[in-house]
Amino acid sequence: MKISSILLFAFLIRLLISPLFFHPDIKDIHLRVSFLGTDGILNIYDFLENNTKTKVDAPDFVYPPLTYFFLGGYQILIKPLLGNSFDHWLFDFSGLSSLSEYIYRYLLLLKLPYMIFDFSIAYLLCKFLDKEKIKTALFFWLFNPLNLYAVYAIGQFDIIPAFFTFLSFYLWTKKSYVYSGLSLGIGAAFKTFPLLIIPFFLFTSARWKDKLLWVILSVGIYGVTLLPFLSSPAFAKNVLFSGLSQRIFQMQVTVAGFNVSVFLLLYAGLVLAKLLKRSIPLWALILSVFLLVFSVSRFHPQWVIWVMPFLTLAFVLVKIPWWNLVLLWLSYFAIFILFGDKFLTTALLAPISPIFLEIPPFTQLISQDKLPIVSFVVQIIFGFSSLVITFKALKSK
Amino acid sequence: MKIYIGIIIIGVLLLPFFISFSVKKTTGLNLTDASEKIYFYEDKMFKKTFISPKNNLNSVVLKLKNAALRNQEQVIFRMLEEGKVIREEKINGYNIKDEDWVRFAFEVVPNSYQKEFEMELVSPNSKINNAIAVYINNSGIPGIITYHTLSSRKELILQIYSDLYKRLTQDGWFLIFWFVLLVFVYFITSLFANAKRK
Repeated sequence: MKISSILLFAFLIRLLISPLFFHPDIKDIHLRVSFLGTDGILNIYDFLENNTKTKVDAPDFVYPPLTYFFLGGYQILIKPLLGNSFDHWLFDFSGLSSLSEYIYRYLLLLKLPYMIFDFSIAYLLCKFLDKEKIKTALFFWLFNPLNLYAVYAIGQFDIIPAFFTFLSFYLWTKKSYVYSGLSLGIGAAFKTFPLLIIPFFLFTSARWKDKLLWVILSVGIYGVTLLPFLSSPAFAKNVLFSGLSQRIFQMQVTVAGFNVSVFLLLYAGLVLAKLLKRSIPLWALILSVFLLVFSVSRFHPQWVIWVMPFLTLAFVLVKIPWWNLVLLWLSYFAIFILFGDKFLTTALLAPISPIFLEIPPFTQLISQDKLPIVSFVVQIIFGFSSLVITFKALKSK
Repeated sequence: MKIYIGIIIIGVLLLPFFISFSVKKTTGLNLTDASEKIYFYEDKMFKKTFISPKNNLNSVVLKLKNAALRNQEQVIFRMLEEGKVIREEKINGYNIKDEDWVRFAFEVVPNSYQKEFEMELVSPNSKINNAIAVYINNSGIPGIITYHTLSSRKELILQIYSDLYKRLTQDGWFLIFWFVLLVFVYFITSLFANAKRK
């Protein structure tokens, strides 16, 4: 199959899915960023903390400032296309906002920028890989169900920091350390997860001057975007010390009488593995860190996009067995079916017909006393398939 | 590769079909465009007739407003047929948000197809300063959705795809934009393919 056909079909599928699937998160985020255009608000954190109109339904904004300005700026740009009813739709907290007359237009326009970053990652994969591996990589990246679900069904913006993270990795491999540092900093300024992988860049071979510059740029860019808001208690509470950012450290074990985060323990294990085996490629370590995050925490479905570019590399470079990937995919979807939130499953189709809002969560098919065991088993299967992939990746050169 | 892509495209288009097998209720009336408000309190009630488009009517959903969540009084929904109360449901204003679709569920009315019902909303203990409002459109018709228990799987599936068609054609500009985008991408990928061949 020609690459042009792969790209065309990939785009067609995204055009199909984007308007037909709706998760309320995309409306919630765009409600918060809308204040940039409608009211000229620059400090969204303090504004929401004190705004009585949104106190109940939109009490906070939990992402770093660049997310607010980027998505808010994009919303200002497309305002003429969104129409006059858009603001009213944003403030519809009734639970039937998916029935809006203009829902398809809103969903397609709001998800359109994700396609730019999505296809940009595809482009980087083509640049990074040898010619004979490109088609397989493109096929895996553009058509795997996790990407389509996390980006175009759920509609969260994690594809943006995932792009900058992968761009940083790509530029590092091309020894373009300045731009690599800038990219990682920009990625972290959208969502802070890229900061987790900084140490592994520093363990790869490069001059110490380049590494120092890289750290200064990546952390510096991130810090500069936060600087104007550091004095805001609402910002500190909702972004820096939010429950989400602490979640990965919550699973703990007792070691010598001390409670230690499982994530930190295994993270230290990865650092040790790199120190002992210098030939482990950078992409394998990044892949392992992100899979570790998902294995030890109650992660959100959209987080999986962080790891997908690197999982694509693992798929083509290390030949992960199909059964392993299928197990990963199935357990991933099972985890979210067992969340009991119908907006992660059938209610996503509410833009097609309100009938889909009436389907109860699938968890009601399982007796409540068995649900924790089933959830645990599914999480174990996900963790196991992640572990197999991690081992294969770490053994590669 | 082509087969897998085909499976995804067909899968997305047929997903509503497969999921419909877990549906037990279907919608009837679906009038959601309502932005004006009319309040009911003390002896001032809200009354409106509607015709049920299907059999097995078992709930009526109305768009209500409880401004600043002030109202915590009883709200009574009554459904009348030929002047007689056939169904009555009571809820508390505490459970009504500031702009919310509120469901009044009741025992199934089996032979409801094309029958005219009158609905009443009353809240005798509410006052003017904490009254609940019903949203209506310019013609006085309330925002209303009716639900009916399922009588035919085939009818449900047809309704789902007919809902999709109706909603797609509601926003003509979206359809045009969608089509133009697709043609644009086809053009760009063809250019790319031709450039590669040269």
